[in-house]
Amino acid sequence: MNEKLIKRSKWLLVLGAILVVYTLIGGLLIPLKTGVSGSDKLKIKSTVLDSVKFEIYNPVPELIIEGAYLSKSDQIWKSQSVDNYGKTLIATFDVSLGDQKSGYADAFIRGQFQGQDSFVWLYLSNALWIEKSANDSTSNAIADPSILDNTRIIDEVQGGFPNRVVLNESIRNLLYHVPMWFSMMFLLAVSMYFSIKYLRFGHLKDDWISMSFLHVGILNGILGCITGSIWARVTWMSWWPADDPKLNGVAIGMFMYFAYLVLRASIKDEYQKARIASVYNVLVFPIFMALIAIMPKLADNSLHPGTGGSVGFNKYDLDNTLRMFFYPAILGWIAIFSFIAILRYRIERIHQRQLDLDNE
Amino acid sequence: MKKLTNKFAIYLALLLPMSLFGETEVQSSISDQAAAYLATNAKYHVVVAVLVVILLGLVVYGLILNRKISNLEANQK
Repeated sequence: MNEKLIKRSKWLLVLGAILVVYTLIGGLLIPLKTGVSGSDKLKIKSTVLDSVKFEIYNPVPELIIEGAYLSKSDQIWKSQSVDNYGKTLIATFDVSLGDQKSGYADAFIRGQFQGQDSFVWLYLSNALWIEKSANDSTSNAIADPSILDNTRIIDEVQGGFPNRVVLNESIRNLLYHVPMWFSMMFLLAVSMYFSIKYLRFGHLKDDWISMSFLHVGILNGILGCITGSIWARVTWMSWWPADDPKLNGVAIGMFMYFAYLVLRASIKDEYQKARIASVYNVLVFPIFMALIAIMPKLADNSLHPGTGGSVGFNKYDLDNTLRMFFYPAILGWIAIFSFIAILRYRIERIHQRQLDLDNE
Repeated sequence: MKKLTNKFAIYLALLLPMSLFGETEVQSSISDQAAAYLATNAKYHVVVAVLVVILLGLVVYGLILNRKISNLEANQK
């Protein structure tokens, strides 16, 4: 590793700290966009006048709500009336399904934002189960089912972080959980590079660099597990969903790297230790990447986005406002943990030099 | 070896509890209430300020450590 880079490594910390403080302040203070977070009822009966209370998250006065709609199998029903109380919206429906069967309907809240001519909508997937009554024979769906096509989702016009039903405020964890894994992958890749370098040239310092980056990479992995576990508890209702292939891959991969630590500690001779550990590191890294990046994509039962055929997080959930903080967060955390890894290497180097001096 | 065993025990202690917690129901209403409380009392700013102070404290600690190590390196030379 270049001595100039080592001497200037404190600037890595300063740069990382600036970026992380920026993401910390912005990432926690920017509000979520307005959205529908739920309703008080799970089921309504057709041909019966029924009112449903929708919970509106982060309501803003700029949004003037015009009506609530239920959509099922390409047909749309408009509410008879809506009463807006800010954080709650009471909509009264009288739905006749006609030739349709009972089933889930999506809810759309339609309104005008900041006095614009075009309409925007808030959306709640599978909001209500509509139970078909015995006397329900003629549909009273509105004539023009394309009414929602001419409106825009509120995400396109309102500022703030995306509001998603399951994620809700926890979407901010994207700025901490994902950068930990990016940082870990970066550090482990650097570690593998220096392992290869050691095997090629045989300089012990390359092995110390490899070991230092690997140690900090493992720390990153643990932090990624902790932040992910907290996120899983909020969104998936479990600290560690046992069936998720990505989590299983991570657990196996982490234990493979723990085995690296055991392997290093079990060998006394410095050169033998460095050689065997380097070979192990070069072998483990591709397997680890396969376990956390390739295997979950092939599995069909992963909860993580972008796996098992589902769309990635950046398809719907990552908008430009979030990107303004997400990318700096990745760079910031990589810079901070790289500084720690370099510091760890320097301590190891001092230790080894001291041992040499003592032996002399 | 003892040092390594201790390190390994710490890693295990950090990882294992995650898998031991049961699949209990999330009381979302409690977190909603907490979020609403923080929002209405503008306590978010306090949370952010405390986190920034902690982070800056760690950064200062890192810089001090960097200087100490630089001095040690200079002394060894």
